[in-house]
Amino acid sequence: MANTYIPISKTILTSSASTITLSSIPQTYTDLVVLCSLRSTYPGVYTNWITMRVNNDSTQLYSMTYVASSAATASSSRFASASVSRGYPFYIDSDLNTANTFGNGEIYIPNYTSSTAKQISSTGVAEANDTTHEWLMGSANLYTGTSAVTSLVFFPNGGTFDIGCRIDLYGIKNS
Amino acid sequence: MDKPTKLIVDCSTGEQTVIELTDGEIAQMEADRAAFEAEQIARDAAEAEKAAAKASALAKLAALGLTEDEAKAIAG
Repeated sequence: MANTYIPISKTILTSSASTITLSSIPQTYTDLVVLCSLRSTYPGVYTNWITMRVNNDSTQLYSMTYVASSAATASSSRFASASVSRGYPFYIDSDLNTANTFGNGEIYIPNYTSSTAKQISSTGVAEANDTTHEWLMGSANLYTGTSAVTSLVFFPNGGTFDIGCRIDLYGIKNS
Repeated sequence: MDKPTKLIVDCSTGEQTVIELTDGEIAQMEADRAAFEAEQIARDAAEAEKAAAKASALAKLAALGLTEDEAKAIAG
């Protein structure tokens, strides 16, 4: 790993949690990187979404455009900011998936201390542990809030984060 | 039954705190779940409709005498 990656926090769940909040994020880096390994308790579907709010802002300042694959189908879509109160970085595993499999991905937040809108990239693949599914999602997220990022709140779009979920936060320096 | 919890990680100290959700937060969680289910159903229906329309278009192009590759080149 490049020596510009500075570990800020490491979180591994020992009990389920509805949300995970990373608060008091230091303002001393250039960019932030979040590495996730997540699974939800949501029943009935194979994939769920990890969703994210910046500074716990629930106003409709988020939009995203994504490309995705699910089994043998490729798709793309866009969520406009008029109705979206959170970011949708990528798919994670749900309760129907094999036990102890997780959706793994990365969220990159450049220039997070700026007073302008934040363009956030994310990619992730939900581990299916079978020979037929390939749940990939890559997305460009826009958060139009202008405050520096001081906290990130993660939650699944249904159910709770399962035991064993992990979220690591790194700071990136440009020097 | 225990209430669901949230985890708060203070990145400046490393302290991790588990807090029970309030009734309002639980209600919001349930609302989010219902919205997700509705969204999932709508997305699945839209994808099925799109696939059916594409299959219909390919069949009509084939009926006009186009090869499968030619039809797919048009339909995408």
